[in-house]
Amino acid sequence: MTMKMLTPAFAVQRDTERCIGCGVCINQCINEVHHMDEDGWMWVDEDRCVGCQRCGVLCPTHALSITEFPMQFRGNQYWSPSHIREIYAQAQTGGVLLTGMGNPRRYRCYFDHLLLNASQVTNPSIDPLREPMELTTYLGNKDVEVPDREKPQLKLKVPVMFAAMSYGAVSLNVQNSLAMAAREAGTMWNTGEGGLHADLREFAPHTIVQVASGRFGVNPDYLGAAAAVEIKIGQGAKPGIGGHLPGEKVTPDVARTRMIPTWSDAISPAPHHDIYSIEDLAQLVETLKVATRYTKPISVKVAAVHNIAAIASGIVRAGADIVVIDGFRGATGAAPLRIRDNTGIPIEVALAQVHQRLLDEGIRQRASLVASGGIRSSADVIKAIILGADAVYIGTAALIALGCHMCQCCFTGRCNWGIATTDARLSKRLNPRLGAEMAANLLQAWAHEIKEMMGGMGINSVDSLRGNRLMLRGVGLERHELELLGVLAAGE
Amino acid sequence: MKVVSYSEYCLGCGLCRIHCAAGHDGYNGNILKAYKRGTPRPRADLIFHQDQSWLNTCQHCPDAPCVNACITGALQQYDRGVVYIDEEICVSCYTCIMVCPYGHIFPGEQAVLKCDLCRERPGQPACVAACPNGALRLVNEGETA
Amino acid sequence: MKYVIIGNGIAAAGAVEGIRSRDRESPIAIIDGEQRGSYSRPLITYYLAGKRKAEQMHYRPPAFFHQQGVTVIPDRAVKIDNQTRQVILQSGLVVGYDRLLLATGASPIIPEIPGIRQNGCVKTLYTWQDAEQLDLLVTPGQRAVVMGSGLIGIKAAEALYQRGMQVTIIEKQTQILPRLLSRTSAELVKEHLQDKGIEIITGQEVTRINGDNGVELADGRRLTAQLVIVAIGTRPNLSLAADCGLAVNQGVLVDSHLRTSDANIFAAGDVIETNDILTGYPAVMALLPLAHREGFLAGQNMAGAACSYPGGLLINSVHVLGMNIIGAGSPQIPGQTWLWQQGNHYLELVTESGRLVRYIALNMPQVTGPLTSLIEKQMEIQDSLWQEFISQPGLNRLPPMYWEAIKEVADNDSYRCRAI
Repeated sequence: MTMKMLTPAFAVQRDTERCIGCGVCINQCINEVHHMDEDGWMWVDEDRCVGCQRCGVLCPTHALSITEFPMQFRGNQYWSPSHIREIYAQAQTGGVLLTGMGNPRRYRCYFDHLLLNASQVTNPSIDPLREPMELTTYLGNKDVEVPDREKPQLKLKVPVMFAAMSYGAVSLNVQNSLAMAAREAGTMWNTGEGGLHADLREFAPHTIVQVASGRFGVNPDYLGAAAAVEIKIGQGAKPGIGGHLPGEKVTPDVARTRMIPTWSDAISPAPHHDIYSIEDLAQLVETLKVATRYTKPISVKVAAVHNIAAIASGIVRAGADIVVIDGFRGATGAAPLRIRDNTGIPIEVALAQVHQRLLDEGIRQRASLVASGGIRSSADVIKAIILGADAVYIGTAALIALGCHMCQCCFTGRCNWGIATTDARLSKRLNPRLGAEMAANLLQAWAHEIKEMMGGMGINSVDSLRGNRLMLRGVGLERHELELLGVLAAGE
Repeated sequence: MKVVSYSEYCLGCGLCRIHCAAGHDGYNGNILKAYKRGTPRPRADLIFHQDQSWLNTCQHCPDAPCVNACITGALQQYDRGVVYIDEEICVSCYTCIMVCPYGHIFPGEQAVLKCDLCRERPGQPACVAACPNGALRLVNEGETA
Repeated sequence: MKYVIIGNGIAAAGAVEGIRSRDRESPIAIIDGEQRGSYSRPLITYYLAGKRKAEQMHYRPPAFFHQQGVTVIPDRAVKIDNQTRQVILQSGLVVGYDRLLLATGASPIIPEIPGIRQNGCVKTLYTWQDAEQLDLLVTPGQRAVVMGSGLIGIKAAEALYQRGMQVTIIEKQTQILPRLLSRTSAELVKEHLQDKGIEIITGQEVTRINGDNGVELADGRRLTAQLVIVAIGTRPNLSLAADCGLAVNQGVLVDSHLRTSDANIFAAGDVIETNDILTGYPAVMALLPLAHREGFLAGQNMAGAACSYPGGLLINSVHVLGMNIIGAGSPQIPGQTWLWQQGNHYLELVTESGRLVRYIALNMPQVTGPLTSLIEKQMEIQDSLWQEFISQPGLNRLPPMYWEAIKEVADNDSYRCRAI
């Protein structure tokens, strides 16, 4: 073996004044970082630490802190530590670098350069504690020329849905938590491309089922046990790339749900092999509408890429009732690092462009627009709605509510927080009763905040906010960026 | 009343027993003081069996065998079925330990140790409050939800 | 309904609780021949050793009987007239009853040995009063001989030792604690006691007691002793029962509802002959937990219930000079023996076609509760699982089916995590 060149990524510091040797860190770390010898001597194997912070959070005396390892590479503004680290890793393995979660790099975040309006003197603001505020949102085709029976609607009490995360990528307890929370909050959760577990059928009125390139778990029952069907063409974390669930995660239960052999790799091809054009997509949309007897809206999800406005227009023309645009910050259970970090475009720009394009073409009313990929707070939600979205999907934020600490090791299946795993020892770390409570609390909190912000702007219905770009001003943005977003600069 | 342990969500972390120990013997929940200065003794312990674990704590049985067997009358079952030990009266004969089917009661020098549902603690028992995954729950007699 | 209980021991306290669980109103009278209230008999050795004060001897606090509406009559019953349903007391007082409980307990056996009744230095240790009298006779440095190495003998020896006396135990059998221990385990306990300084002579009988000079053994040895404790066993106090014509054998005979041959008279505690649930044979089992259980069930039945009592299991826990000894089950049933020992921790199991019939645990109380339960349940368990358990005995190594059986209770009130 060659020299491994690297110091550990994280330093595990134990305050011996505080450590009581209780062993919680030892029994909670699936990566076997913490050890105690028979004589009570405690030591750590820091090379194994992924910085998930499970030990530090559960330590009853807060004796542990996990920090970046103090010895960093020699300072260099061009060759960043991650570049160097990745080269060392590839020199060792010769392989494609894999990662999880969303793009963490320092690209401009437009949400952080947009500011909301508020009412002063010339128009009154509204106190949401005294006045009713309407957040109810309907997703679907609203074209008056289409007969009502052919344009089913999804009713959301809050314009925030849980994004697609498949059973296999996440544990059943995660899906169970989100499904319960969706029912509680009156919104939707999404199965992802992994089939629908029998235990979750009862949540059908709050379930969106996905049909993706691998067609895993798709059958008439599956389509029947949902409020809407979503065709996944691509996702923000890895546009143009298929999915790969490693065989180790395909437990008998996962296999049954996906309708594939146990312990076999589940590979979703990069493209749908029956969709090479908008016309092909129209056929699948129509097929699903017929299969569900026109009772469920059909959604199409694509990653935000360079030509997104034209693509979205084609999707609407292909008959989709809902178009989901997934920005480049969108997360995933596993993606090649270079793809995740270097592909796609920001959701803010994509959304503004798609909304404008559909308006210009006079087809905006034919489909609802859902923004996805990197929505971090209720402020992001409201800005997305102003930029043209009907609703948003949250994935990462939902997982953080369930305990995710963003260590980006989802692809290993060894998630210490019991989220991105199918290992029974780990998945039981998320009690769905608590998970549902936390996820539902998050939606409730965001709903309150959205109402507060709407009230401040003097708006009492989310419908009046959608595409209402006068409510936003850009700060620190170039003129062309303001134009792409369709907003004025602060002060204008 | 008793604490029910749901093994399907037990992490096996053992925080319940740490908080239990620190919640008794006058440590007033101060874990550091209990473990650094004293001799903390939990009133319940985890059982590990194959891939499962659960907190083996007093079931406060109706018609409790330990109360029946107690030679001094130190173990008594009061209203709501809670089995307490009067540590002043106990002589540590371990007869109760010998008849407890769960192996809940712990040997002690002056008196045996057992779950008292943290009767001097406001709110929930320390173990229930400490469980990070909702795997412990205080249930009343006849309650199922 | 008038309830009368003769005796004020553990069974009587249990009976009061049993009666009151069904009948809150009717009068209850307890005839307390010992006139010392409801105290716990096993505590007398703790009292003698100076570890318990008089006010700590109560099995139930003095207020208990008052709260339960019980009249305690400090007098001795001399006769039961079951025709007129009356109990005649020593003072001449007559107490009428509708339901009577005989809880008269047992008395120590005094063997017919020359000199045993003539000498003031010969004592028993069975009642609180015995302990008080002995307390006055204890002189540190002097030698005491304890005849018998049963539970009372061992605890008496411990108490006298802790009070500073030189103690010799003389046991007729070839091992100490013969009803509780196996030969191997008895040897370990014996070594422990000898290490502490208690002299133990097994396989010998006392044949004569010579005043202050001591005792003579069957092999002719003479031991000087200033104090002799007779602790070779007890036998039920049957005279009241026998005199009024109740069926008796070794103890008072009762049916499964603890009723004697007279429908209005029940019996419970050390006075009765009951079933060893393991062997199925009748036996007198003078054990405190059984006395309470029997009293409690008999009390309920006196108040009109029909609780049946299956019998008891021979089971005991005793501490002696820092060593905890717990044993349960029947020494008579042969079977496969499993042994484990580490330092002064020792566990011995006997299984018969997979079923646990006996265990002996030295200094490892924690596993004994489930083992007792396994004997009671007579759960059949594969040898491989017994092997796994005995390789490192502990709650984590109990056979899975035991936990499943015991967790059924918990599962019944489990809930599904489906709705918030």
